[in-house]
Amino acid sequence: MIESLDPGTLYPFGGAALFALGLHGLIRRRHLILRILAVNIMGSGVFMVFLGIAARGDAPPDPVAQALTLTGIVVAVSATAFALALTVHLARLTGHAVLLPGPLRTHRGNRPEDP
Amino acid sequence: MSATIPESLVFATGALAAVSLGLPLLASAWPWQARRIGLLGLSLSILGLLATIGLFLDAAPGMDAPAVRVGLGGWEAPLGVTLHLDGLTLAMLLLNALVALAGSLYARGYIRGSAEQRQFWPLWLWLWGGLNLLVLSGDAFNLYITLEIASLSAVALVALTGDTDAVTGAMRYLLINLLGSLSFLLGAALLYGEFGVLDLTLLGELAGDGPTERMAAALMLGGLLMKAAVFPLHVWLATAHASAPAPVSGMLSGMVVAAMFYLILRLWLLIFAPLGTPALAVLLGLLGSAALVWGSLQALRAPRLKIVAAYSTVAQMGYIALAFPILILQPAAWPVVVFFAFAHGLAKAAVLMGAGTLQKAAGHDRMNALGPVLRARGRTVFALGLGGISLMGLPLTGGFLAKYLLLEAGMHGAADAPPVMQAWTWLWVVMVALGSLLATAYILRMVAPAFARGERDPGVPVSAGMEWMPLALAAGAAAMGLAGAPLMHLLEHTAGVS
Amino acid sequence: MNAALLAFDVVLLAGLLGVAWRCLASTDLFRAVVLFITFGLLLAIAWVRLEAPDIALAEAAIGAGITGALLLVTLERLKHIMNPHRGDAGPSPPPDPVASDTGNADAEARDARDPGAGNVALSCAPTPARGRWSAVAVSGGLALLLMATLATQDHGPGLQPAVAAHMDVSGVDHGITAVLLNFRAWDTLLELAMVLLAGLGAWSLGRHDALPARPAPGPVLPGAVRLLLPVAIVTGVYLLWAGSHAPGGAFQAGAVLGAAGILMSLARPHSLPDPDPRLLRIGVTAGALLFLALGLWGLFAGPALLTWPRNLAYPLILIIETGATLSIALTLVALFVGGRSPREDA
Repeated sequence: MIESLDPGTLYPFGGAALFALGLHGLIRRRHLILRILAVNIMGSGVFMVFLGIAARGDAPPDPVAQALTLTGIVVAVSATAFALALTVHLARLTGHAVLLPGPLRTHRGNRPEDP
Repeated sequence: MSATIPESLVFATGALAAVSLGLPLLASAWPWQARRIGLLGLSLSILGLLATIGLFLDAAPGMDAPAVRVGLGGWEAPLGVTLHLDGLTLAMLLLNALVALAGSLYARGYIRGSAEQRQFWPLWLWLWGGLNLLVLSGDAFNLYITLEIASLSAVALVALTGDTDAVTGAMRYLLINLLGSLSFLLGAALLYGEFGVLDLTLLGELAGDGPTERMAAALMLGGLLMKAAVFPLHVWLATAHASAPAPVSGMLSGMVVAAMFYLILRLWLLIFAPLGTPALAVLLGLLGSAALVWGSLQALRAPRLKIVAAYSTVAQMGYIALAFPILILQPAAWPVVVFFAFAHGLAKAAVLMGAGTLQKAAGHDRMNALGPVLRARGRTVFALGLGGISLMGLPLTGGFLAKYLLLEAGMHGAADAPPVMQAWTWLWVVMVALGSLLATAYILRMVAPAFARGERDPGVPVSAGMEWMPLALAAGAAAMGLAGAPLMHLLEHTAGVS
Repeated sequence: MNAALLAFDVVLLAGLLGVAWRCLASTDLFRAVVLFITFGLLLAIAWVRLEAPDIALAEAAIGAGITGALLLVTLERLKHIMNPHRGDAGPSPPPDPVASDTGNADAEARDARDPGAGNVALSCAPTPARGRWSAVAVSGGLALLLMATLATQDHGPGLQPAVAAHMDVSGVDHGITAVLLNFRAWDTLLELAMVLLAGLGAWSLGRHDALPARPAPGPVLPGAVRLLLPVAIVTGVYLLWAGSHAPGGAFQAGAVLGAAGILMSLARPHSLPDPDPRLLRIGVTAGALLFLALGLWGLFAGPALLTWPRNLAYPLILIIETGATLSIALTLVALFVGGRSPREDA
């Protein structure tokens, strides 16, 4: 039993749990910083699945899955950096950094056109 | 690489990828000339694309493989990343190039300040290039990066207007995109865990209908449906599309959602086809019906022109989801679905850009006060009407041909289908008709004030590109009804068609 | 032995989940960010357990370090936006009701307790209970489905044998670097594009302002920077060079150099050079442009884009990694500083 629970088997389960936990945070929290953190935690869950798969069995770890994870981490930090910049931009415009649920103010009648 | 694939096609595939990356890179390095780089590069790339289509149609009948597959770096799959080029790829590249070129000529007059231009053009080219790279990619992980590139540039472009609605819409769009991409990536991870490869074609050879395939399909297709704004995952669309700069709205409604749909179709054709069950078909069809009705009703009551146009995109995506059951019922009918998406991509880009022109001219886009501008700007109204006619599916337009072919395919497949599917087919005929009716209503709502009596006021002068490009796109959509055969011929040469 | 390691794994995973939960449930944003950085460091340990030292290095440098720095500077900016008069002499202005999520009374009370002290807690309302169970059902159901799927999977070797079979022609001795810069170089090129695009996106949103006001730096930070800067540069260069045969590579090196730049901007915000925007633009793009330009050789000479000639593979990879490192570091610092240079709009 313990033999079958090598890290390569155990960690993907943890990755699945992290993904779901992040999703829960993304659904439930409204503040953008927390939502961005939630997306990052989901991403870490995916990376854990990849790295767990890479470490399965007795063979040396799979460098392809590890390289994909490295790429994924850099893509994630890029997306996060932009999301944070957008959050600050939104806060400058509205005074808060929260996305409230429900339809936005798209039905507002008049709006000066784009610059 | 198969010996029968000519070297010239292999070169052209690589060159298309290199140009799709090189142009945005050059524009980013030197934004002071980005507009020139973009217009010149896009025009040249269309010529290159047409030449490639010619080469492909010439070689395809003799090729022993359905697609040109190029292992980048000289490494074949599964070790390397593969570019995948077939009829479907070329059709999507063409749609992207046409909408992007029209959008570029439109944007020349729309984005005025030199400081704005320096920000706009590099991002605009990244959106075009990212979508090209997405369409060319034949590797599950590589697709994830291209999805992120396309969505990040789209979000930045939406936020570019800088007003509260636009930035809020962009934020929502970004979160949806990140969620969708991660869902896609997790699906890819599951597939890699089971099969040890990422190449779509190899995955297709290995995959059956086991639990991994089911879960991966749910995650990947679910993520893409979210990005494609298929009901009920459409909430973000109206804000993002309606508040973006007009050329960006056109690109989002015309091409970006179509690219997500393309990817759903590609994954389905190559990997997930064995999972097709009548229950899934009916579920997708019901989602499509709901989107069709809900989007149309929203379009009928929205107070602003660009929002009407954006909700029409929700409704049209519903149409496409309605077509999914056909893929399951009668897989050979899918070129019709792509034809439909192509015609609608052009028509929607025309409608959204036309709406942008009117908005710019009038200084606002309140439906109840647009009369004077509508009456004075016949050319743009004609573009809206022509694009709208294609969306409604009146005879002699691309939309009509597409709906006719769809109906024919549905009826044809129904004859020997299980009873549940037969019932579905009939419901489906009703939905297609109802959708056309609703589309007629909201298109009329857009253009009707032009025919009422009243004062005429052309408003602020707009550039020639802003007047002519919507018209050109709408004419293209309509012309597909008369000359759709070459596109159908191209689409027949696609991998995964049995 | 095995049981002890298993226990360690279980405790580590439980810790990760616990920290992630506390982070996402937090009502104090600063606390959430600190927990997130802790989470990143714990992840790095997990990656070591999964025999992935390269990823552990990247996670610590990029996932925890750079992301953490970006999060913290974002909190500073948000604080500044919501309370622009912070640091003024005299009584503080009344707390801005929009500063908290939905007028959270707790946060306002906290604001009022620290008048003008410069450490206004950034907080957000706890999530209302409505819809709690449906969210739990969705995410819990997803977790169970995922685990059930993973439990059915076989232990395939993945692509490890294929990589091992081609190592001798890859130009490097380290599997991950061979994958990143040779076998799947296209992914890496697009990833560089993604980093660049994040920078472009942030620039498109507006001009950069001065970094938010902060207490005058004491003697510690500049002194530490004077010591750390050379160390960081040496470490970065070492990581870059080591990537060909050991854990390391362009992204880790870029992150370390970027971190050095960020430290410098923190310690002496006004001494950072404001480079010519033209040079800056070329600098952030150069890594990807160079990569693509060298890759074009294979397009014309065959067999395909991004093919490295066997005997030149190692020097080419080293050149590309150097370019990538510099562009990444530059972009990371630019992202930390914020928007575009005002001189770009001139």
